[in-house]
Amino acid sequence: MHPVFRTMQTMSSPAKNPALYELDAVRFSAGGRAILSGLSLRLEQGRIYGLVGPNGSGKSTLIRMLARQQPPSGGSIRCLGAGIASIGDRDFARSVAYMPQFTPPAEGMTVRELVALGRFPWHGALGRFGALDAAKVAEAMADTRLDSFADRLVDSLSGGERQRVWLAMMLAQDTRCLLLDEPTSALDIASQVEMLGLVRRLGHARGIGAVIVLHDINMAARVCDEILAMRGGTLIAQGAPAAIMTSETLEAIYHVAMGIVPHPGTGEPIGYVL
Amino acid sequence: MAEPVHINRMPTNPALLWGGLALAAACLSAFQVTGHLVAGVSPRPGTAPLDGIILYHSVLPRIAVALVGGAALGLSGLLLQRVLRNPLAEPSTLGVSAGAQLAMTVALIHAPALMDHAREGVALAGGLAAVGLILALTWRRGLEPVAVVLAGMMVALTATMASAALILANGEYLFSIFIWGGGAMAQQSWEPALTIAVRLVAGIAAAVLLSRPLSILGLDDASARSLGVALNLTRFGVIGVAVWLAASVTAEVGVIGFVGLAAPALAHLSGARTQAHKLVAAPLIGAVLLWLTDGLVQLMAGIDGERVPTGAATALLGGPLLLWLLPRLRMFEWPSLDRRPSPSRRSRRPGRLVGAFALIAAIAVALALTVGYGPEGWTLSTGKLFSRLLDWRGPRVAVAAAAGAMLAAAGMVLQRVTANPLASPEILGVGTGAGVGLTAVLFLTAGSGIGLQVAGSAAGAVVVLGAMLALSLRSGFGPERLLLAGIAMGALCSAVLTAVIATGTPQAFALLRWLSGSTNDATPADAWFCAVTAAVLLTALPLASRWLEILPLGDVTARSIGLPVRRCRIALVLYAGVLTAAAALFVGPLSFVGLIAPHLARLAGLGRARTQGAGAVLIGIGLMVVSDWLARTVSFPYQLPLGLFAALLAGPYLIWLLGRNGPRSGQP
Repeated sequence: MHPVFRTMQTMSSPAKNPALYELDAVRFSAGGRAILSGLSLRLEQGRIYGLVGPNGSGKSTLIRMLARQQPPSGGSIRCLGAGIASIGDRDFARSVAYMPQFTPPAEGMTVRELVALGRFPWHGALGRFGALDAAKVAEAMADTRLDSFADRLVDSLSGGERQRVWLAMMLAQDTRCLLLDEPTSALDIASQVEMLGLVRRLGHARGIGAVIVLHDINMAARVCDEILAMRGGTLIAQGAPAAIMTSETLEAIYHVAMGIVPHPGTGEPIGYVL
Repeated sequence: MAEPVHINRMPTNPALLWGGLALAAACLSAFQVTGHLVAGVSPRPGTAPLDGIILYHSVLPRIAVALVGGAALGLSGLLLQRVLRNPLAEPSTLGVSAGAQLAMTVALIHAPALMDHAREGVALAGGLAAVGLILALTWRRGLEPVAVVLAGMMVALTATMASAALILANGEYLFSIFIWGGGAMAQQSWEPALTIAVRLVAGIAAAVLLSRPLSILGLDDASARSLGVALNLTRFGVIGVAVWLAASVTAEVGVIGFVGLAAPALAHLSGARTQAHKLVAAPLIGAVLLWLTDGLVQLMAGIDGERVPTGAATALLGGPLLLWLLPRLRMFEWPSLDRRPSPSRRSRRPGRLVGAFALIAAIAVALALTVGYGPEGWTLSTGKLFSRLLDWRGPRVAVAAAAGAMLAAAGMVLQRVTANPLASPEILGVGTGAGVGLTAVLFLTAGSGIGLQVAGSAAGAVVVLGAMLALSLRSGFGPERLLLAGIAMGALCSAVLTAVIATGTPQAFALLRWLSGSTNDATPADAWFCAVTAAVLLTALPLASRWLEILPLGDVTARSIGLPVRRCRIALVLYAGVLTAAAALFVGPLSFVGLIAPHLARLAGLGRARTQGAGAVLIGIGLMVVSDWLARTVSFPYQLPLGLFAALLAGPYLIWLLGRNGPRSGQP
């Protein structure tokens, strides 16, 4: 068992340390079509979850509901012990940070300004941007190695650098949880490894949880503590990467015959299409 | 509704729908015809010949003009949309009609003989000049649709305003031109119908001959060229035909908007997929639209003749139709708004830059207060003369400055709330919406006070803005659609204004003055009111700067960092609406300061909401005050409308700005 998982287990007592998310029979349908059908799930704090599955399996819908960008059609979602709809806008943004699949163009904004927007839930529309805010921004930029870009315009950066800026903004938000919807879909392989490595390292170092939607199952197995596999609007497998990375499970997820080989260096399982 | 998602067709059978509408139009015409026929066979002696004459020389030609005119406009719109690959192109958005109208107004004043013999030539010259200007301005942008429409709108509005100024300067005897300008369809002979019909036949023949190159022109330039099409020759040929069609309609019956825009779009929605189908469907639909509208106008007409010009009525009917259609236009060939990195540049010392703008604004105010042009030439007034003139110049400078500041702030807020760099009170029709509110107040309450007028125009502005925002929040409603919706809304409100002005009452004259934007008779009370309103409203701007910083990033991001998005939008829209209404009340709806000032501030390097707002407000003050000064001095002793100069100052700059916009990324 993963060390972090063990500490979380020993720490968890329902009253003091509620689950990051508790989903009970969550449904979502659009235009008469069920996209999620009765999903029940418990996500613990401080763990990194990979959300995988084929296109149209409901991954993005699920993460958008976790981020409160979309209300569920039925069922209940609790976040850190409170019903998700009952939390105030800024309170929720102090607990959960979300990066959409397509980040908007940040026209005319410098890196530092965009990262500083992450402090909005803490200082609000009129509050002073204080020393603590400045420190959190500086820390987020240092952690994502953005110091040398601080005064560059966001739109002038490469895709990988821009994604790091948005991650820094989420870190400056100082939340209990990061939600990332396909953060690597437009990145080259080096940037993918860098981005996900950052999320894993910083998540564990700061003790914050993360839910990451990923297409690449091997990448998910590499960075996540636990994998949630979806297909057709339901959760079909959940477990540590080693438990998911079997040819039977992968075939059940993707409906393609797949095999497993051990990584020549680390011995971790690697899935490939047969 | 079982399938709300897939609406790219008309909800009913299109043939049935258009057949039904044509039948309705036919019934209305039959009603007119039988009215005269029954009278014609009536036993009363002496009336029969007269009714027969009216029937033959007025009623029937009018039906014919409506049919061929609508068809010509539909064809013209189709050709322009195709050749410019621009679904917003049509004779009125490209300034053809307004250019023709201006040319004819000028001709009527300075060379009335010309109008007798070469009416169509004059109109064609004006229309071609307008289109030529627009194409020249946007050529370097590769005739990008949004740039073309924007340039077209600018040229059209400037031409309209110039016409209005000429009419005002030449007294009421030209007032009838305004009614004609609204598209009056009354006929005395078959000649106009025949003239348009000949052009229509020629246009259809040309379109059929050019149908192959035309369908290739729908592709991008490179593909078209590689398929061996003589690109520019074909393009100019087609544009020439389209302008000729539109100009001849304008020459015969005046400006009729919307038919050219709506007919091709409706043809497409009714299932005309191929070029050949559209070539048949668009003119037919155009004909039905105009025929029906004209029938309705006649039906509504009172005993003293109809008071609403048909051209205004087409906009009244077509505007809502277009707004209804826009969210349903799924299959429409939307041009992609190229998301190139914007040429934004950030100043290292924004404080200094704002200081510089403040200095420029102060110089502009000093210039406007001291320098004048009189019978003895240029004068610099100081001392006693200055304090005497201050009573005259002070109020108008104060009104201009306050209005400029408010419009600039409103534009900045709107551009950030909609995340659309082309949004502004002028383009989204907010100014004209304020005008409609003002109209309602003027007509409903006699001798209304300034407070009521402000309330009325604010209500109009907020309603228009709310409608725009509600539309823009629908999924998949991109910046182009917002612009199109704004243009539709603007045309709709202008149509109401035109219709009201056409009544010729004293209130109508007041509205015409308002429309052209004039500070001539600003009183000290106006000045105080305007300045205090501006000061009060603008102190709220810095309070919203964090919202304005976040909103351009879109709803998802704004929500995820805890912004109450809906409440913010509503508050800011109300704010921008009140700002626009207060400013438009004094300087009219058409100034472009709200569009241009935030752009200038951003281009100068003010990127943050707070500094951009401050810069935009100062630039707005400077632009408006200089425009006012020019309006006062350029054609002394006559005073030109302020709005005209503001548009003339701001318009070319915006076009240049669009043309300069290259793939340039920000430097460290």
